[in-house]
Amino acid sequence: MRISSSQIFNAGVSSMLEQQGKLLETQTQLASGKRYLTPADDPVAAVRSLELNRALERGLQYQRNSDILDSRLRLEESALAEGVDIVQRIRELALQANNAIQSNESRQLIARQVELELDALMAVANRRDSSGNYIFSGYQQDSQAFVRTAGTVVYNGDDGQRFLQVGANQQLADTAPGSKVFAGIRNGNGFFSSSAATSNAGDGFIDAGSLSDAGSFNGAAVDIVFASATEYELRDGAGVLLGTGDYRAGDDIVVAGMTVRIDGQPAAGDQFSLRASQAEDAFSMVSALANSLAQPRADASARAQQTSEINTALTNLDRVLDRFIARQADSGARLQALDRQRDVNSGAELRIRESLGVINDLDYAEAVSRFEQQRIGLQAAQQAFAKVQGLSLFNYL
Amino acid sequence: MADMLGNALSALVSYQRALATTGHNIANADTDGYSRQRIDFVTRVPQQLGGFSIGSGVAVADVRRVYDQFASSQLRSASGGFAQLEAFHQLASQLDNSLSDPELGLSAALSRFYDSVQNLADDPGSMSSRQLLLSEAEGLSSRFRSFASQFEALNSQVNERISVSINDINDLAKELADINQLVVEGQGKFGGAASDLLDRRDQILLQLNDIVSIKSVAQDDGAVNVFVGSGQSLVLGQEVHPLAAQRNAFDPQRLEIVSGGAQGGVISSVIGGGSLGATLSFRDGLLADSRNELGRIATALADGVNSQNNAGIDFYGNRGGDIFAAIAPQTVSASTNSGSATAIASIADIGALSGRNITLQFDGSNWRFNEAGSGQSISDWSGSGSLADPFIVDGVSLYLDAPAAAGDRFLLQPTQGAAGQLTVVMTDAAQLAAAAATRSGADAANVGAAQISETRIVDADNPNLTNAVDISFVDANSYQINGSGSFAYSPGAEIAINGNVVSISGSPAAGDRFTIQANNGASGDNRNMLAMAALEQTKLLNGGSASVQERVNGLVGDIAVATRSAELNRDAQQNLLNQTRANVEAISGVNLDEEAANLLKYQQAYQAAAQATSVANDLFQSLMAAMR
Repeated sequence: MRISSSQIFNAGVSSMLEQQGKLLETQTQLASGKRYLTPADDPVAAVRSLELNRALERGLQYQRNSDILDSRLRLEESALAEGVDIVQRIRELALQANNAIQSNESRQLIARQVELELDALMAVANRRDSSGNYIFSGYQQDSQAFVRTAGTVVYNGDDGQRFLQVGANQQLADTAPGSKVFAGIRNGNGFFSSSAATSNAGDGFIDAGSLSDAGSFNGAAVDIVFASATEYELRDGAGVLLGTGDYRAGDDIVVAGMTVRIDGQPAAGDQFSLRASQAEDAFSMVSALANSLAQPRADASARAQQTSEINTALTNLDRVLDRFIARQADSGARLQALDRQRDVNSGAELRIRESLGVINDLDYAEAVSRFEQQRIGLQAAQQAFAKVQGLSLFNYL
Repeated sequence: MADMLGNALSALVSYQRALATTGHNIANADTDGYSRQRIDFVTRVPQQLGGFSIGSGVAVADVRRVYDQFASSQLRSASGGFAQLEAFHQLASQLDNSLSDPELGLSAALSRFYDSVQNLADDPGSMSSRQLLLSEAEGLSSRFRSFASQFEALNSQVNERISVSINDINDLAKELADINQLVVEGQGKFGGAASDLLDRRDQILLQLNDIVSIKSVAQDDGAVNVFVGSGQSLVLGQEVHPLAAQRNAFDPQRLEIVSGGAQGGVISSVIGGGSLGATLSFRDGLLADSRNELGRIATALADGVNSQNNAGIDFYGNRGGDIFAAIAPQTVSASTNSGSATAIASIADIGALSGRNITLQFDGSNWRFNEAGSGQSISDWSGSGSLADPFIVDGVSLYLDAPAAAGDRFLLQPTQGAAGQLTVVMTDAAQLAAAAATRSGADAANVGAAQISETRIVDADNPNLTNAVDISFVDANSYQINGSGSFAYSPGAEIAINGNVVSISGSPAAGDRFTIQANNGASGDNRNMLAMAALEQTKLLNGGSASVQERVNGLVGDIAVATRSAELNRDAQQNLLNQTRANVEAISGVNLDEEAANLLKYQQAYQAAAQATSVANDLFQSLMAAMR
């Protein structure tokens, strides 16, 4: 083929330019450590890398969310543990007060201790987080959860429970609202509660009872009325007679699925009531105990009244403990789920980083040897150009 | 001797010309478009002397231009193709880089925005989290605006290129017409034109074809006529019909190309090829599509975020306002309209939004809808264009505020300007609605074990949304709503009231009460922010098949693929161009070694002829001496 002189020249120059271009690209790759420099170099990788980057960011955000939830759940857990301790101390005080050797004075001392524990329980219920938000107020985190006014405790929060996004498809609940921790606790044994009438003249007292036959229990009110010291009548809330029985101290009385035991010696006309459990808050239960202990008891019948009250209080306290422990288990379960989710998240993070590395990162060994090859290529092109340009017939004319 | 002298002289003259031609070749070894010239010798008519003849020397028959019409037209087309791809690639790669930057790209800004939403969801009462969200929203909107202005800048660069190209075309056309004249004159006077003129003309045709695809037609008188587009004349013999740039009737930012030749008028849509063709197809294709798509993404983002914020209640207990300024599609009435109607458009359905620009044309009784770029007819529209019955096309609702006159045209740009309009209007971070509008509650005296779920807002626009609702159980199996009716209780079933959905599960007791109420004072509620964070993956676009983030990535991908394929095509075309150029050079290029050899050859021949003259002279002198 015939070749023109400018063609030889242009071919030499353009091959040098091409080699230089390639060399520059490899050089930039080496300097940046990136496999591609613009999206157009590898559109698929560029888009994939954007997606993975976002997935990575999102995963890191989930971890941040998890950290926040973790600290909140730990706060809840420690508050609940403290609550359990307090209630257990109150329970011990109640048992102590129930002892016959206690005098009115010593019981009043115990009552003051119970009052102090109640304050401690209030403090737990009104606990705040590091930002000053009440943790047991539901959504109303700016309002104090429980406020005592005129002897009664009022819940100022709501039933809201926040969820946090801790994984791609995982939302976990934040702290439970106070209404579901400290309030709405069924009093008595959880099915019904027993009490002695204040007008009772004998020294009979009643225990908290238990549910013996769930099938016959319908929640209707039952009164146990003593016709004489040895005979009692069972009446419903409207006074209709349900049955009668002979009384022997310490015997179980079974009615409508409920079993209670009355001890001591009731007098004729004395009355004990069984009522379906009502929802009550922990504070009123504790403060009922304190009030009962603070009140001096002059005679045996008043003492028996108190014994019934303490029995009721003890079973109430068990309900509170049950509730607290259930909540503890609940938040413990969430903490565990959170831990698992964090493991999942960090596993995902690792995998994404790996994929990103494969997509974005330069293979240095390959790039360096390519660079070397291109450098030699350029040198060769330069030398060839210089040599070929020196060849001309005119040199010999 | 006279014969000998004559022969030697003819050789001297011929070789002198040959040497001159070689010199000319050497001089033009680097001239673009130059075709080497060769000299053809012939013997002169011999002298007949009886039974034999004596040669009478040499003459120059022709100075021939070594040229191949086919190779040269191949080169022209390869070069035009390369110019087109090169120009397109140059423009496209400007778009390519900026959008995907890991720090500055849209993706990164979106990512930071959604992270800040989750931050606020983590701690809805925190003012600093609220402030952060607002500044990320500002950052995001400014990214959108900056990309919009980059697109604007590219658009003005395109206009610049169009103006420059048109000037170049007109200059070249003028020069071509001048050469046509010289060629025609040469042909008339001497029966052929100078090779160098033809080379120059071919070179101009090549340059013209690099700018815009042309058709050239050779005439019998030696002139070449040039046509562009769909047969609009640019050069007819010695006559030039220059092109001009003209502003679009709708959009003054858009230049159209007008031909002054036969069947002239606006020829932008029929022009193709070359760098100008590439510029136009970039403007109407990749640039317009990217711009519209970016706007569509901005529209969906603003609309989604705003309606989510509207659904919740803010820190003050009010329903949330807009975070971003509402974005409306733009409409333009053609400057040629005789009626006074203005088209007013709004977004009807984000999912159906396509982003393409649409022209509406009224012929006096019927409307026609066409795609603005390609002019393709659109049949998928409805409505009559009145306020009561607006046109619905591509998810946009559009009406005219006055009757249109026959021939009126309107342009609808559903999203073209949207990215530039994206601004944050919220100034008070407390107005971010982190809380849901309502909450549920259980009465404190409930003794049953039933639980009510959180409220889920399904219709934020329900006027009774936040009205208090009381669900009370008459017995374990039925309940009343607000003290009336009797509804059978089915655990876990959804109960929809006033745009709220709740479900009650577990076993309720008679007298248990549950409530739904306005979510006042709920500074700790984050449900609306969780919903906003979920927007990231909500498929708002393409009829519910693509999320905002997916479309941002899609846009980056579309531009990258277009740039990539332009680059690959350009490289392939470069090879083709090199080959065809080599073909042309093989035929017409000057080889200096060849010329040096010719130089030697002609020089020797010249010297020999001179020697022959001298011999003839010697012979003559000898004869003279013999006579003396």
